[in-house]
Amino acid sequence: MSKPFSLNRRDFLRASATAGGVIATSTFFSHNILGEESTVRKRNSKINHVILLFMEGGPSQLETFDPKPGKETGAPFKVIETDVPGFTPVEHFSEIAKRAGDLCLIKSMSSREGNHSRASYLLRTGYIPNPTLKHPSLGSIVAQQFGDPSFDLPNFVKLRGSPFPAGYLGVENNPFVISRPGAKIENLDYAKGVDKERMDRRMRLVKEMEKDFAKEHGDEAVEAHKAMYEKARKLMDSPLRKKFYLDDEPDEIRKEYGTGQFADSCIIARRLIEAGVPAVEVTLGGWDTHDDGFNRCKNLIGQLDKPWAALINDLKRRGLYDSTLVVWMGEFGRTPKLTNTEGRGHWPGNFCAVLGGGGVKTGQVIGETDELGYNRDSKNQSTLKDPVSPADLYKTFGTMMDWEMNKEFEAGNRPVWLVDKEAKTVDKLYK
Amino acid sequence: MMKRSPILAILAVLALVCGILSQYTVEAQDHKKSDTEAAPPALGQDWGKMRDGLNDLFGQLHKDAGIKPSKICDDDTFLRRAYLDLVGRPPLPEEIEDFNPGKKDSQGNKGQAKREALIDTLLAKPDHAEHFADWWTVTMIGRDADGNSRKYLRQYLQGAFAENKPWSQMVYDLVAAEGRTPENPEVGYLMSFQNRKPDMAGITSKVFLGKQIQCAQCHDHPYEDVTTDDFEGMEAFFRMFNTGARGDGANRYWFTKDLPTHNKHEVSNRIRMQGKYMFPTYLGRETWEFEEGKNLRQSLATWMTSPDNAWFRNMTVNRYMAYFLGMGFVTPVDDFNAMNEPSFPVVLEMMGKDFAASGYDTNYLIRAICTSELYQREVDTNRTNRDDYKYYSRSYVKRLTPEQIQRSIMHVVGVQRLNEQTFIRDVPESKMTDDEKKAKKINDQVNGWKSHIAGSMRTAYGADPQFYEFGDFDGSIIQALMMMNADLMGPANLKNTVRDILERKKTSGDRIHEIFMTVLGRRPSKMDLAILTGTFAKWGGDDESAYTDLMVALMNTTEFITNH
Repeated sequence: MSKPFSLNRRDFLRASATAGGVIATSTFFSHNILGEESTVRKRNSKINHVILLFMEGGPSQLETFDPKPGKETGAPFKVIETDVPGFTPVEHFSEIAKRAGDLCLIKSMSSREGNHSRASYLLRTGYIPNPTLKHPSLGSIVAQQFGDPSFDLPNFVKLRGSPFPAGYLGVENNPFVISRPGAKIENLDYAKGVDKERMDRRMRLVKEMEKDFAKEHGDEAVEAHKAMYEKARKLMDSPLRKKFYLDDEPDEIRKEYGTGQFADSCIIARRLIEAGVPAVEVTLGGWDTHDDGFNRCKNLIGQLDKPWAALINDLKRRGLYDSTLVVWMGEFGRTPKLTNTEGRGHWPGNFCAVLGGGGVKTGQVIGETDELGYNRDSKNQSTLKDPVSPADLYKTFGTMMDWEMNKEFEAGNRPVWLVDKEAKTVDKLYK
Repeated sequence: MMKRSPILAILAVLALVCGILSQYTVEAQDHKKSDTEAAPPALGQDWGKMRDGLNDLFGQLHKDAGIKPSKICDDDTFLRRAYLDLVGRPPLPEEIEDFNPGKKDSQGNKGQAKREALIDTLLAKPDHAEHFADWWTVTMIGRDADGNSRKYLRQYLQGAFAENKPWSQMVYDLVAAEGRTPENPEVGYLMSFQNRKPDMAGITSKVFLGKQIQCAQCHDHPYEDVTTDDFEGMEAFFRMFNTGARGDGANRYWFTKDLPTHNKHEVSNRIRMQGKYMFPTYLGRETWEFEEGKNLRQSLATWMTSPDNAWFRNMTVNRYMAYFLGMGFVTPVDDFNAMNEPSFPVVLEMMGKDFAASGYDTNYLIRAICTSELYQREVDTNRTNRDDYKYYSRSYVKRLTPEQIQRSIMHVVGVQRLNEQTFIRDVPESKMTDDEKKAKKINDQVNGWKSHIAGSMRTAYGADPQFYEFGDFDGSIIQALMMMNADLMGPANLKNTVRDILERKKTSGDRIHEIFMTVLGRRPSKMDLAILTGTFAKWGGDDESAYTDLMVALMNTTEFITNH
């Protein structure tokens, strides 16, 4: 029975439970019940939080941070010169332009995935999709690496967007998705006609009824079930749940962020970070600008610029910017060539990502594109300077946050790693 | 048993297995040789033989390993277990009465015969085909696949399971699907991949053959002899066709379209034109040969489902073992590789051959497994088998899938029953009879509830069927929040069910009995009754709110969301 990686009994149970559906032992809350991982690991990093601002649809580099003013591939937008050479966003980023010194712009993100769902998967996980394996997204990795399982709030909150499961890291690291940020969260309140007292009596009865079942069918499944309910009840009754809502946020702060769903989400993100949530993802959709790109991008930047800049200011003011990594990116860029409807197609060859906050070497630009933005020589070879692949970006995140990148995780019974082994760290990105 | 040398134990087991099975095989072959018309059953003729084989074999293994197996479960347990596994929901109170736990059923059967009769009854129920179509749709293409693919695939599977189509025929239909929707709903499977050929090859190999070749897409398999060439060889079978869609709105339809295949040379050229140089090659290095009148996918489907393909039959047996018994011979269920040997390779091989000889009749397999002692064991363990995760000496608690939970909730709030009674002609509402109008109103409500449940479940579960094959009701807070607080669980929605029970049953004991039957599909134990007497006294009486709370409490137990 020599296997390249032998399974001990606990591993076997966990593997069989995930793949076969058996509740053989407590595979539910592997962290707190198996005990071994219940203490949060000490890391050699000052980053304790991550906010991902994910731009769904593929934001155009040419209408945002890599404009080509006056060129045939450019947009009819002016650009803003900043103190940072190369950091010249389009005119609609008037607030973010003032924060150039607090940001690091990567102009040379590059991949080969031009399909929305595949590219989103790649940018969210650092891996290309594999139908036989599900990789965790950035927020789930962070939740698993820094999160305290006994915390009142979920360790990964996603404001809008689809649930993206934590895959082999287990459901306890799934995102807690809020589909309408600021509005009443579904099922978080007691149902009509039920108050705390009535729920307590129901749950006490559940506990009583479980005793018999636990005796006959093993405590572990029941214990795990109980743990899940306790966590849910804790959240329902926690004073921290007000962090999901904006009611007690001062007007002047709300004014600073501006209005709109994205602005509200950014405030909620800050509130959650402040309360101790390790990972928050905020989604802004609508960037798939095949037509009418100039107007649509202008409009989207209108929703994005002020709240994003306010988020940076607010985090700085509260002393949280140094311990929070803020990432802005989408799944790919857009074709330099314009369509006759002022739109652009999908272009994974080069696109932008903007990083700021904890650990990032800010006030710099990484990568450079050529005059028109095609980045091809006469032999059709890429001339993109300092290309950064999504896997490289994740490797860099892992290095900055001191993730367990050499640890062999298990998916079914195959070994997997948080970050692609082949990827390279982008050294000049971090301090 | 754990103290014995593992190698000795394995040798002993293998010797035993080979002994018993060769006897079984020789016996079967001897019968084949005799030329008499009334030859006794050979392989594939009698599922009872497979069942007896499993019983005898594991009985011997338990003795040898010093294991005292758990007791055979009682009728109540068996009934709920079989209902959840075969029709995806607990039994209705009248179905419990019909089975009459502990006594003779309505046909006068008892004991083993009664349980066999129940399996037959369940296999014939329309909701069995529905439930299996749900299960297999999720297994094949997941909950994330686009709605139309899921709809058509599910429709095809439901029809196929309803007529008990041979599994080999079903898989052939899916892999070689031709034509268009809605006439050929089987195109739903390939449609779901949106022309991503690597995924078609990867999923088809994994789901139907148990061979995980997808990682060889980028690199040679780290611990098995699967290379990038193997992967591309399989992928090449899907390179001469595409799926597509035409039309808008209600007229939109999906189709498959193959390039004509006239000879080997043409295929080779076309694939080269696409920048892929790998020639279609069956996994295991047999190259494709041109067959008159067959396209590449038809050749692939023929090879996959051929009686010579041990992967195909063994994968199916393993999946059904894992589904019903909570654990297959190979774990993970669809990862057969040189480093992941089956726990009982000879038994698997034997069952695979028997299954193939039955004409790939999945009901044959189900009958053998579900009437065996392996399936009928209690979950309760003893000192000798507490740690048994190999010999099937006990049953395991299985999590319900989201689909099973959805059906169970619908069943509690009365949707299931309403749905079955409703028949409405396809005429404008003005021309309907009063009964039909009433039924339509109920039906609309049912559909509303159904989509509400499906919607909550989707949020609650996210979607990750490809890996967590059996769903994962385990830890996402959102799921607990839904089960406690969703409107559906509110007094307003349970009112009708509760009032109906209060009207029909007059004593406290009868009412509790009925609620247990409705929610958990079993009678309350003495202990349950004692607890409830105390609880109701504490609550100050057993009014409508007390019964509502009892109902909600039961729906929030571990028991409700597991099969045991």
